[in-house]
Amino acid sequence: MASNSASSDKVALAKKKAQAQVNAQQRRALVVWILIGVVVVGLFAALVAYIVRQDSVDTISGEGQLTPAAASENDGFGVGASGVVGEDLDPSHVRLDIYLDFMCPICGQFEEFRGAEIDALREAGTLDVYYHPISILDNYSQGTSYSTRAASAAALIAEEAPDKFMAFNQAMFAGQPDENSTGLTNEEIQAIATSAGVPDDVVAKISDLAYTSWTRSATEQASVDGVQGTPSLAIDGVIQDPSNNADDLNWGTEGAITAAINKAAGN
Amino acid sequence: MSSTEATETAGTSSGSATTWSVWQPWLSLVVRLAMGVIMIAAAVPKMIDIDQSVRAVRAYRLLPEVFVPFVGTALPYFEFVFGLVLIVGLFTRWSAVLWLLLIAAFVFGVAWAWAKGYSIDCGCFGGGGDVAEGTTNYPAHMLERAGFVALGLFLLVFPRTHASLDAWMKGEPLFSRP
Repeated sequence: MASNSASSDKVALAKKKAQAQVNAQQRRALVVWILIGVVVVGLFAALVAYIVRQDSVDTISGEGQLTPAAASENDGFGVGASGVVGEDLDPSHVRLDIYLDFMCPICGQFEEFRGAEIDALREAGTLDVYYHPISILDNYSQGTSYSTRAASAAALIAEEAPDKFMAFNQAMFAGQPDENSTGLTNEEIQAIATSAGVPDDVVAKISDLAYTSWTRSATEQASVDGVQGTPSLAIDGVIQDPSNNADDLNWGTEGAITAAINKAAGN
Repeated sequence: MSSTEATETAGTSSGSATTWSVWQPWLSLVVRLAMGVIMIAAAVPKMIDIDQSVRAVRAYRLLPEVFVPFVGTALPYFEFVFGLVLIVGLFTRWSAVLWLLLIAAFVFGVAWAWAKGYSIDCGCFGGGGDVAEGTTNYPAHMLERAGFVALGLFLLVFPRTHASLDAWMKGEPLFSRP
């Protein structure tokens, strides 16, 4: 009697244990399948994001989006002695590519302290300057994407009012907003353009933001070309990186730009 | 009555062990959740600004350009899914291994940038790319990494956590008593 009930207890226990094992296996299988599902969805999402991004960075996409014909092969706006985009450019001149973001405070300092020096070299016919308004600081304007909007405006003016590009560039830095502020509104950018002498019909188009897609691809192009931050300078296509290479141009030093450009020109 | 006595006698000789077995699953739970939140905190800013994520990967100058856009895009998605896996407590020990491998890869990247003299921000939590000279903070970054390694090692050694899918799968109670 006693042994009988003990053995039936054993059987019940074994059954219960086996059932628990089956349940555990089922749960494990379920969880593994859910995990595989989540990973596949994540992979798919990443692939879609990759393809969509690649497409929109490589081509100008979006309704009403334009490519400025004035831009050089590496998405810069070349300015020669006359100070007009696309004029007086000569491959025999030294080429200086300047990468800037209108939100970048050091770019503002660069313009303030070195702008005149570069203008003088350019006006003397030693130098062709290629300005690259890019957008790497969109995250520093509280969601208003000031860098992209400002660069889009610069591209529009380079394209449609090429003689006012330099004045606009300078005025934008003179009226530069603080980093991490909301930046300037489109209306404020338009006011700066008007003050720089940009014709009213061109000023009116600034708020269309027709060059934001181009700005994005120009920014990606700059990154691929080795630009790691702003302001960056490239002399005859070589990015200057004085922190790694002591021979490279360090514009922080007074007179260093003139010396480097004259050296490149063989003077 | 006798069981109380037994516990009390045990308490005098191995009290710390008993306390540890009570606390360990809770501690492991906190560590696991912290790791999950860190992963997701690393993923979200990058997912919001994929272009920046791609530039940050490019700034390390480690990968050939053909892989850079894909890695920059896919990495935050991977981190996000991994963060979720950590939070629900699935395959916790393997997750700890993966965590350590991932941190090792990131540490290698930053050490590489440091050794090469690149003035870059790690971009681990979004942002990244090159920064002005003097604003990089490699030692503080490495200290933070050491903390992450410590978290991973703890979970690797003590993968049993409360409220985990691991326990649920095995049919164990979610808050098991020692």
